[in-house]
Formats: sequence, structure tokens, C-alpha cells
Amino acid sequence: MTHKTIQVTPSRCIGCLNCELACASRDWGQYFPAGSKINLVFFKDGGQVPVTCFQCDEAPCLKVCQTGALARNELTGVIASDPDRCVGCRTCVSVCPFGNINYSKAGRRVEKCDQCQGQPRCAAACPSGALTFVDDAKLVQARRRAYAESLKSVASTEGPK
Amino acid sequence: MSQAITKVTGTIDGRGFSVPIGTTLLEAAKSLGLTIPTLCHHPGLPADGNCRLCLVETGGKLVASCLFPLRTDGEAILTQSPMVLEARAFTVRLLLSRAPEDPRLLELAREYGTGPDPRLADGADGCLRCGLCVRACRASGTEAIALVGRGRERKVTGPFFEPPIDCVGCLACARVCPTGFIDFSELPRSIWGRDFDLRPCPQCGRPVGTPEELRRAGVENPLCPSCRRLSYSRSLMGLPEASFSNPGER
Repeated sequence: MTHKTIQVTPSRCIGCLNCELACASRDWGQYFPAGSKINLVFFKDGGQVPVTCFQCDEAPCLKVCQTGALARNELTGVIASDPDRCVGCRTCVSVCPFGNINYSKAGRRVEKCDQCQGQPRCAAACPSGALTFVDDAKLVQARRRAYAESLKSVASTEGPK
Repeated sequence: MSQAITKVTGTIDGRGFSVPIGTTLLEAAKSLGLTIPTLCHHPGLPADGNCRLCLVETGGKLVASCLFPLRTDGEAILTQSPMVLEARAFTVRLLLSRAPEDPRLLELAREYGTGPDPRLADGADGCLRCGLCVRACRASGTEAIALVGRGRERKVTGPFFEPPIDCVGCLACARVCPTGFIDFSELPRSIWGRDFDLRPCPQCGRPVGTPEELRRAGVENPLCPSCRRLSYSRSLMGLPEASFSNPGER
């Protein structure tokens, strides 16, 4: 199984907050943005970007968890949290360099993005294509192709004689 | 040419199971969808067998299912035998004498037809002495509290019966406590008779955590999670460092 990523294209984000609402409604059954595991960051100089867990390879949160509440699914590469195993010490919240893992006082557990077990609701709810769920391999391929396209003109003018 | 045996089979209440060797009886019962009552069991922490609620019968003996590893085939386990029900009712009676107002225990008392023992009423402080808080503390990398004393004298405390000096104020102990016995406050932070400072986020000023718990996590002066998100989002987007005076940004 290939790893998949929630790809963020900031230029496409229209700031509608649908991703936050879709995320929160899964675990809370209601539109409760504070319970969302994806967050829109609004810049005061205009624009915004949705951010969520990167599922780091060298994940600091995973390293500090002593109860096995955070575990990586080796098939998908996704780190999920098991609320039953969490004791609420919040060390993972302190060590996440990106602020993408939260402790929920209401739920008495740590909350992080688990890509909805392979069907992320944020991406499904995004109306503008700012969030897409793509194969890692295809992501790299697309970027390589885009870069190659940009070299096209050079290639045709300065190709071998 | 013997093949390594990795599974163990048996029955629980007449229903067959096949689980990896070493699986606890409690986990095996859970995998069959059977419920065994527990109070001091936490899936993320080592079992300690203190509350005795999970007693079940096997081979004519009572065992604590949270601690009992299944190693031999053919174990016939009973979770509802007369022996189990009697022992469990007695256990609930004793536990209820410690925490007579705990809703979960009251529910169990109704189920097993028992009530608190009036002779033990003076021990009713709400703490079951199950040690789940102690195990959570140890797992979180601190050993601030411990169960000390024996019998009626047993209790959870810091060294020398004083507020625990090694406590970092993370509140994990209070979160796992089955009866909610441990008094704490999130804001301002206090627990076990100690008051903690809360380090403010260097950018927005919101409290991030106690200096002790941040040191334990190996981070000295971190931004709060939402300022962390803002900070790296700005750098990813090629925006200049934010001036954090503007509360409109989040």
C-alpha cells in the first residue's frame, strides 16, 4: 500500500472553514471548530492556509509517548491516537514542533489527525481543491513533471544539434 | 521439527477463543466481546491487579484477569460463576466503603446486590488505593507519588507525606483516577497541594504549561501550539516573521 498525503495548495484556499467543520463533526457530532484536527491559519496581511499533522517520519510525539496511545500504522505511515491508552500527560503536545497535536479537555484525550483511516473528510469537504488526498508517489511525479515542463523551452532551443 | 506454538486456545463462559500466547485473560474476554468490570485497569499502563474487580474463575481458583497471562491450552474460564459473583460482590462492598459516592461503584453495587460495610465507614475518603495514578505518573516519566503503608494505613502520597517535590503538574494522575478523588485545577495549575507557575507563550501570552512539564518534555520556552502553527505557516508561505501584537491573526 502506498502512503498518501493530505496535500495543501495554499493558493486555492478560500478560507471557508469547511475542513475544520467536517473534521470536528466526525468526533464531536457537531460543528465544533475547537475540536478540529485541521486548522486554518489566517494571516493578518491577508490570506490563509489550512494546516494539519504532517505524519512526520521522525515524529517527536511518537517518541515521547510512553503508553502506546500514539502508534504508527506501518501500512499507511499514519500516526493515530488511541484515546483508551492516553493518560493525558500532554508531553506530545509540548514537543510537536508544528503545534498540530492538541489535548482536548472536553474529551480528556489527545487529538491528532489520522487521515480519517484513509478517507479524510477535510479533503472531501474542501470546495476549492486546496486540500487533496494524493499518493506520495504521484505527488512527487507531478512536481517533477511541472519542473520538467518549465525546462521545455530551454530543451528545445539548446538541444543537441 | 517442531513448529513454534504462538497461539493458545480455551473457552470463556463456554465460548472458544484463540489468542497469542501471553495475552491476558481480560484482553481475551474483550476480544470475544465479553465485559469484565474493571476500575484500576488502563490499556495504556501496566496492569497491577489492585482493585480485584476483574476476578474470574479458572480451575476452581479465582484469578485477577487483568494480570493472568494465557499460556496453556484448554483453560476453561468462568466470568459469571457463583464463586465469581460472590467474590465480586464482596470486592464491590469493600471498594464502596472507600468511595461510597462513586457513581460507577454504586451502579456495580446495584448489579451485585451489595452496599458499603458500615464497620469500614471511617475509611471513606474516595480513594480506592488502586494505584492507577502512580502508574500513570511513572509512565509519564516522573515518579512523584507512590502508594505507601499497608492495610488501613495505605495511601497515595508524595515522599514524607508532603506535597510531591518531583511533581510536574501534568495532571495525568487525576485524569486516569477512576473515582475522581484527586483534587486539581487546570487554570491556575495546582494538584497534590502544590501550586504551579504556568509559562506564557512568548508571543501571545497564553499559558503553555508548567516549567516543570515543559522541561520534562525537553522544550524550554516553546510557543503555544497555535502560535507554532502560525509561525511555521508564515515561513512556509514566505511571509516575514509575524509581529504578534495583532490579535486578529490566529
